[in-house]
Parts: sequence; C-alpha cells; structure tokens
Amino acid sequence: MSRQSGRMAGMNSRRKDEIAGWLFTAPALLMFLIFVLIPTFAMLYLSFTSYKMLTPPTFTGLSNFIRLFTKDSRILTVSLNTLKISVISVVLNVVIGIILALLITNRKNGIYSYIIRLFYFFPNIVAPAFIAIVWAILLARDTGVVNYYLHSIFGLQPMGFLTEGGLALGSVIGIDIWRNMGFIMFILLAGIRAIDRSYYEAASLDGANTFQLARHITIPLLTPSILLVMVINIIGELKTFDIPNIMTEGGPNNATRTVAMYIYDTAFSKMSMGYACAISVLFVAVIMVVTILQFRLSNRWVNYD
Amino acid sequence: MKKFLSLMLTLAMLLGMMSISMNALAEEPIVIKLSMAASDAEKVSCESAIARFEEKYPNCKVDAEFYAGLSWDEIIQKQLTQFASGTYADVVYIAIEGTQLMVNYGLFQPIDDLIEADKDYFSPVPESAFKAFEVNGKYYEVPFNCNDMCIVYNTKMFQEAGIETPGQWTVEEYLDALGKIDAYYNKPDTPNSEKVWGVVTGETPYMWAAAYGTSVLNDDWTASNITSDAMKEVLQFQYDLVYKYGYSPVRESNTDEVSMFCSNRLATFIAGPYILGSLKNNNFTDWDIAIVPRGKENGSAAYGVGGLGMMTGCQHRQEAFNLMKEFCSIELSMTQATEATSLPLFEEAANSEAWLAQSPHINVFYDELPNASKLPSPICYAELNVIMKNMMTNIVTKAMTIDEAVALADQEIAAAYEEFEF
Repeated sequence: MSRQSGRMAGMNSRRKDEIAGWLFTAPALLMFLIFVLIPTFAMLYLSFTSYKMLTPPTFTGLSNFIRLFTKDSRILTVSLNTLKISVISVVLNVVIGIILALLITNRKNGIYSYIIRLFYFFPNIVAPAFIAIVWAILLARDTGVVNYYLHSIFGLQPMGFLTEGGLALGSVIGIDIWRNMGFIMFILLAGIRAIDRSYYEAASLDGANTFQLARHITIPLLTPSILLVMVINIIGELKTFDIPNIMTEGGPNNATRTVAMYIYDTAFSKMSMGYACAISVLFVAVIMVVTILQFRLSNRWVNYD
Repeated sequence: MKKFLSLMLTLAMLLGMMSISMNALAEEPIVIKLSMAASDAEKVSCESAIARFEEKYPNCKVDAEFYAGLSWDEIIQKQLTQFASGTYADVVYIAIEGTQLMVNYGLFQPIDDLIEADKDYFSPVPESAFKAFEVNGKYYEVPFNCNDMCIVYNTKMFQEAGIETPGQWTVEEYLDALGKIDAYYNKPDTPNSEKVWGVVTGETPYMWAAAYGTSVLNDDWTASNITSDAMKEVLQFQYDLVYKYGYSPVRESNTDEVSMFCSNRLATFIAGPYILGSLKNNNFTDWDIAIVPRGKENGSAAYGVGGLGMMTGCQHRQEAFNLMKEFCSIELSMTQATEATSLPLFEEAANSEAWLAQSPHINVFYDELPNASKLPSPICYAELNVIMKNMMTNIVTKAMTIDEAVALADQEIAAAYEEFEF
C-alpha cells in the first residue's frame, strides 16, 4: 500500500514538473507559433495562390513554381549573384578571420590588442544602411573620394566601383567582408582561447615553431568554431539585402541584385505576393539544404576532441 | 409585492442605462481618420488645417496619422498594406502616382458630386490640379500640393560664366549654357572628382521626355512608348550629357543633387517646389527658377499632384469631404506659399508677396502648370518606376546600349501590365 502511494506521489510530482516545464516554455512556444510557424505555413499556402494583397488569394496550384522554373529568366541571375556573394564572402571572411585571430592571439601588449580588436569589430556595430550610404559616397565614380585619390596618386581614370557589373559585385562583397570579419575574428579568438594550453606546451617542447603550432594545433582544434561561423555567415550572406539595395539598387543590369531583393521587389513593387512566397519557399529550402550539407560534411573535417 | 418592486427597479435601471447610452451616442463626435505623409514643415500646416476644420465642425474630430521620409512607392505600399490588414483611414493622402491603383482596386470612391456642389469654392484652383485625379471621367481626389518640374539654377555661376537669365530656352541653348559653365570652371585636365557639373542625368526619363513632347507610356497610359524614336532621342540626350559633352556625372543611387548644388559643384538641376525647403535649410540663396529647356516645340514641363482621396468604406462622406476641402483652402495655400513647401494651389497665394519673395522667377512654377503634362502614373506605377530606374542605370553605366535597354524595359512594362489585368 505504502509502495503504491509512493509511486502515486512520484507520478504526481513528475506531472507537476511536466506542467511547470510546459508553463515555462509556453511564452517561447507561443512566440514561435505566432512569429515563425504560422507565417511559415501562411507563406507555404500563399505560394500556391495568386495574391495581390487587396483581393483574397486565389488558389492556382503549382503555377507559381512552374513560372519560377520555366519562365523567370531573372531568378537565375539573382541566384547566381547570391551564390557568388555567399561563397566568396564566407571563404574570405573565414580565412581573414582566422589570420586576424591568430595575429591578435600572439600579441602580448594588452592595450594594443584591445585597440586592434575594437578597430576590426567597429564596422559590425554600425547599421548596414549607414555603411552602405557612406561607402556609396566614397566609391562614387565621378564624385567619390576613392576615385579622387586614385587619380591624384596613381593618375587613374575614374572607376565605376558601383556602376560596372563585375566591379559593383566585387565592391558589395568587399564591403560585406569588411563589415563581418571583425565579428568572425571575435568568435574564432574565443575558440583559440578555449584550446588547452598544454597542447602548445607539449608541442613547443618538441620544437614546433609558431607556424607549426597554428597548422597542427590551433586550426584543427578551432574547426568547431570555424563550422559555427560558416553556418552563421552563410545563412546571413544568402539573405543579403540592405547593402546592395542601398548602394546599387541591384544594378547595373541586375549585376548586384540578390534573391532577397528580388523577393522584396516581387512582393511590394509588383505586388505579386503569391509568386514572392513561391520564391521564398524555394529560398528557404535552399538554405535548409545548404545548412544540412554543412553539418553532414562537417564530420569529415571538424575535430571535436 | 417584492417581485413587483424588483421588476420595477430593474426596468428603471434599464431605462436609465438606455438614456445614458442614448445621450452618449448623441454627444459622440464623428471621428474622421486621416492618413497623411508630411514633412515637419508640412505637418504644422496640416495640423492648423485640422484645427480649423474641428472649429468649423465641432461635432467632428480628426484622428490623424502622420508619417514622413517615404518615397511614393513606399507610401503606396504602406496604404495597401494598411488596407490589407483592415486598418485603413477614411481620408488618405496619395499622389497621382497611386491614384490609378487605388481606384482600380475600388479603394477610393468618386467624389464628383461633392466637388460639383462646391464648384465655386474650388474655382481659384488650376484645373490641371484636379485633372490629375481624373480616372475614367470621374474625380477621386482633392488636390493638396502640387509640384511641376522646372530648372533650378545657380545664379552666381550663371553670372560668372556670362550666361544670360534663361527665358524660353531650348535644349540647344541649355547645352550652350552648360558648355559655358564647363569652360569657365573646369580645365581640360580637371579630374571628374573635382569638376563643376552642369547637370545630373535623370534617375528616370519622365521630365526630359515631357520636355521633348513625348512620354514613356502612350497617351492613356495603357501601353509602353519606350521604344519610340522620340523616347530614344530623349535617352540619347541623357547619354550624351555624360559621354559626349561631359556635363553630367554618372548618376548613382546615392547621387545627391541638392548637396552638390548647395556646395557649388552643380550648376542646374530639375526639381519641383518641394525642393525649396532643402535650399532654405542649407542657407543657399544663389538660385533662381527657369523652365525646363524644350527639346521640341510641343515640349512641356511634367507635373505631379498630391491629394486626399476618400476610401470606399468611409461612413461620413460629407464630413470627410469637408476635411478634404480644408486641405485645399486659401489658408493652407497661403501657408504653403510662406513656408515654400509646395506650389500654392490658389492663385491668390501664388501671387502673394510671401511666395514671390522666394526668388526672382519663382512665378515660373505657377505659370508652367496649366500646360504641363501629367507624370505618367499607370496602375503599375511602382513597378514602372523600378523599370525606368533600372533602364536609366543600364544606359548611363553603359551596361546596355539604348536599343537593348529600351527593348528590355518594353518587355518588362508589358509584363507589369499583364500582372494588373482586371
């Protein structure tokens, strides 16, 4: 009898814990439901409709997706632009981030190291819109400061940093790297600081130099942090919108138009909300596949020891 | 007895409550919701218009929402989004750019009968201001502010370069003036970054198209006219300003004509009276107004009008219209003249000392209005604007030839119209 009542008491206590758990997570779940899950399902539903916001959506089956894959010539251009921005930015961000983190880790002078970190991190705390406006003014072909100095120092003719296709995309990528590398450096710096010092001491006793320490100890043990910054960075880059939108408005000739900009234009300039949702569905699917691939492939190169 | 008493008491309470709510209903003011885009200066004059309205009609209250800093595309988007979410106002400020869309979606109701009933009141307002809001023979808005495009020029530069005060000038005479500016201020080896520029090519081709007597769309705005020879001539002129004459820099998304003008780096630019506030804020006084040089004899200025439209769901039609009238009044027009926030719509205000004191030839704005062409504002205006901006960028950055750029724009305009077929 006493064993049974004990079991009952245990069950009551477990149920209370469960209820308490649900109550604690309820606000977060509710927010997730309202701001993520419902909009996601709404997007999925609207992608199968023709919806211009002012009239009720009408179900059109797969027509938006058929148009996306067969008739929309611009989607390929904007996807390629987004891919170029993402791949180049992520690779360079990570490489530069690692180099900066390694260089700063080796600095002994505290104040110097602090100023350098502040210097590199500063662009990350400024709103992208301001960054875009300031750089657009600096890089202007005929009135910009950069072209002024290129002419006065090197005698160069004005360069269309934002008005020539390839250069414009390069400028957008360059500014993006400049903005993000400080943040990546910080995460990698924290990763380096977390590596057990005994590895370095042992390697140093064996006669390893700085380069060998970095090559055989720091970088392999930093791979979990590298994976983290790659995942965060690639998701961010795939959504690139503000900097090219302000600096070039997607031009010239769509050379800097990204998928996110295209979705925005389609939804609000063309008022084709249904079609914009179809592009978004595809876009979300691509981001999911990329992220899953990153994690799957990480088993081959990430060292969790 | 107890039951009877309690029944009587309940009845008395019910009657009391009913009379209170009836009184409350009788005293409840009519609330007119107003959604208005206005700069800080405009907001002051709008608030005084609202105060006048509430004084004239004590049974009405205005629930006004003001916002600023949005382009017309964004204002249209905002209104549409508000409508889609069911939180729309009774009276909405929207310019000619959004009128067709609002009307075709049945969001605005016609107000011909109300305008007709107040014909005398509106008689001092130029007909072209009302005509801007005419769709399929019906009027949908009451004009609030008006902007026709003219050339704003630097008087000091013109004087120094020996250019006479421009009058009815042609494109050739304009090019001649820009040539004199270029020769006076720039040396052959002056780098672009140090040059004094004559003008900046248009972000869109609307203004110069009007000056050449053509348009990017056909007369009734139902199809593209962008591939016509007349339009190609306009675009060639824009291209030549950059590459043949070197009077214009390549326009970029952040090219700021007002800053360039106020720092004496730009001699002329095209703008409407909306720009006067910026010139004032920059304490820049060496400016005057001239007509946009004509490319052809049938050329004209282009103009746009901002107005107040009545939403279809508006419950208090006459009261809402009375409010709209207050925004098109001589009092407000006089404030616009004094504050230089817009072209004053009432002739009396346009001839007032306050307005004429703005610059020696400020009257050009008012004189140009009767013959000006409406800014092409079809139902797909927001998309047309994007297409035109992209086309101009493609041309002035040499990303495409003029023929290629207009062919692409033509296709895109056709697709945009298809999207809005009713």
